[in-house]
Amino acid sequence: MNAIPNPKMAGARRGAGVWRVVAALSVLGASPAWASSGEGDGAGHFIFQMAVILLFAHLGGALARRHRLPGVVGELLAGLLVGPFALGGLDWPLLGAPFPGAVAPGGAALPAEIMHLSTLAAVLLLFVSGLETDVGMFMRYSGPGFAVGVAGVIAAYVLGAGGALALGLAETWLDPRAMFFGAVSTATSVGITARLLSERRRLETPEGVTILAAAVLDDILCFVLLAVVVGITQAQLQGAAFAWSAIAGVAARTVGFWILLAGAGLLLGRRVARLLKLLGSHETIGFATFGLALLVAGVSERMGLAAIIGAYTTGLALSRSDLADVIRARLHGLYAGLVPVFFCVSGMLVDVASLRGAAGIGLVFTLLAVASKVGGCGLAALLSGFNGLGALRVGLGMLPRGEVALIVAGLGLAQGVLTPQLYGVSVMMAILTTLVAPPLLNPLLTERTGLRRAHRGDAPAQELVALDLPREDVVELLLGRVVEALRREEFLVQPLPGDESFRARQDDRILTLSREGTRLQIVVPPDQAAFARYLVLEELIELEDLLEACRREGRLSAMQHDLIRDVFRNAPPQQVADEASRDA
Amino acid sequence: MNPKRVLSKETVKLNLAATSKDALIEELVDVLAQAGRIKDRKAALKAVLERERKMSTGLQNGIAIPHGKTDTVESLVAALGIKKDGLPFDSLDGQPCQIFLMTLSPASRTGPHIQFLADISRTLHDAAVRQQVLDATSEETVVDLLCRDRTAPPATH
Repeated sequence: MNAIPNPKMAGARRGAGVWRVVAALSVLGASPAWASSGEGDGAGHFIFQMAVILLFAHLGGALARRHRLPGVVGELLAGLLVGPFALGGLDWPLLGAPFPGAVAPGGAALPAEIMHLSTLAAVLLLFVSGLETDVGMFMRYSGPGFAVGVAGVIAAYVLGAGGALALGLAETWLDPRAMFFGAVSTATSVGITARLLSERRRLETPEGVTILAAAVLDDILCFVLLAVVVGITQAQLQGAAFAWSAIAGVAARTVGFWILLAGAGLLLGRRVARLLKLLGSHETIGFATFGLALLVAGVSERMGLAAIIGAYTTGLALSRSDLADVIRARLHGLYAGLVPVFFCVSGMLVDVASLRGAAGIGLVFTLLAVASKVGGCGLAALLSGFNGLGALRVGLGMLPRGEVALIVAGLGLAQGVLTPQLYGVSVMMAILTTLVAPPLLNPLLTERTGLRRAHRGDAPAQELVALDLPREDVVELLLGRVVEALRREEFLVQPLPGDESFRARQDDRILTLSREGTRLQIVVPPDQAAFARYLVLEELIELEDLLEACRREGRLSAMQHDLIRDVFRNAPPQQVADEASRDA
Repeated sequence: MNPKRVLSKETVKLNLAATSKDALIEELVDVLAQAGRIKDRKAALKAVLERERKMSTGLQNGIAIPHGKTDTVESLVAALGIKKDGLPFDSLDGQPCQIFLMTLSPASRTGPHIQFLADISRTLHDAAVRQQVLDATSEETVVDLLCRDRTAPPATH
């Protein structure tokens, strides 16, 4: 750069060069090798596809958030827009079609490596959701969670399969087509709701925990149902008699494995966390734990349970340890980058064109799906101590079907039970329920309680320890010192994203520290209030001591003079002279 | 952390003799020295007196928690003394103090030091426990009263 006398000219020349190449390429009709071949293989093309997905997912998310919609909606819509059935299937100037795979009828809409990456993102999403869950509350709400989950599954299956019967798509309740529609309707995609609740910091409310508990149960029931449906379908296709014993065996193994996994996780979680702490650096702990979650997810998949359930359960097991905040903080970057990819890919899988002919059926199914979850789950929530607002929140939170429904529908398509159009209908239902839920749920997430009365499961009252200090920078200084003091007491302290606050945690003891203007605030459980007060008191005494020491010694002002006197002392005289002449 | 590892019958004294604040602190430091918990008696005394000079640790309800930081101890040590007829200790409520919990913690090592102090003094905020401690006739009883399972909810509320 230094050799070029006039940078402005060089920039103009370089720009012209690029345009000349563009012109030459367009004249020749040349495109990169992958674009003309139409095949999607090769690392180069994968990189290109990832570029498109990352850019559009994050742009879509940012755009949605700017319009006060949850990022998820923007990411899904960006996927719809740029997917293989829309812009992604078209030839882009210079680059070719990013996702040409959908051209082949019945073929995979997206290449396997994209789907794998999307699964990885879903696993990460569910692992972090598990970590964010307050197990104490999870247990207190497992009752409502169970009722809501079971009611939702029954209502959704009956309305889904019954809808297929009513519309003449299936002949009997045992028709594989009816059973697939029933199964597609059942699974709640907890990820979308979890993300919304997490964005609004409502994950730990009674509704949030009930939804999460119910959705976990939902997924398990859905996969058991799927195993049963696939078993019956195959038996019918082969003309054999029902082998109920074999089906029951598959179901028992799936559920049994999950109970075993969750039990082991809850019992061993803290012990595993203690072992993980031996790894030393927080960075290593964070990613080694994610590796562990992937291992459990992989084993779950082998045992017939979805990988995401294994990941969620691992997160749940570790959520009780003080490492939970550390792991979340370390995985935050990966999470923020990768999870939008999952939602974008979910949107990309929708074949917009095939829906045109089946829009009516799709709408009926969507309405049935909405009615079944809002009605079924809402009613169960009403009977479990929630008020109308709480029941509506739970019902709407259970609306999104998302990835699990897509997996079920894909299996139906692969088995030849669902036609591409009916597959499209299933996907439309999944996408619409997903699109509809966040905007409906979002405005309901107010501070108003969703419980009929003070519930025994309410979080224990927190105590506020507050100090009004003379200046904001004194608050900042004191906050820093208190954080250090907490670390000396062997608390794990993590900054909270967004604002000037920290969360300190030691096993079940959680303190939240924040500053607002000239006020220092610490929110503590009542049994830790004395500890917080003693801790802050010692720091205040130290602070006063520090100030007094500075004043007493009287050396600060002398030091200030020395400091400023030395500014020019070491500068070589020549340089000073140069500067003087240039200024002149 | 097991509180009994810190507070044991060797570091409890039922009838303190001192009649002044400084003498009482010295007496408790001597309890720790005699129990073999501190090596440098002088440094320990200096640390506690220094902290006391900055702000009195006399709380309410007859409880005082003199404490200090010094690297002459390797881990948290604690002593508890009782003076039934009380001693003026510049407490918050102006009342004389009867129960004195002293801790010394290493300055450059991490650990639940303030938590220990907070937990024991929280237990002592229960008037019934306080009376039982004052009425105790053996050091073991005092240790048992103060080191009960801390996960159990406090008796008040």
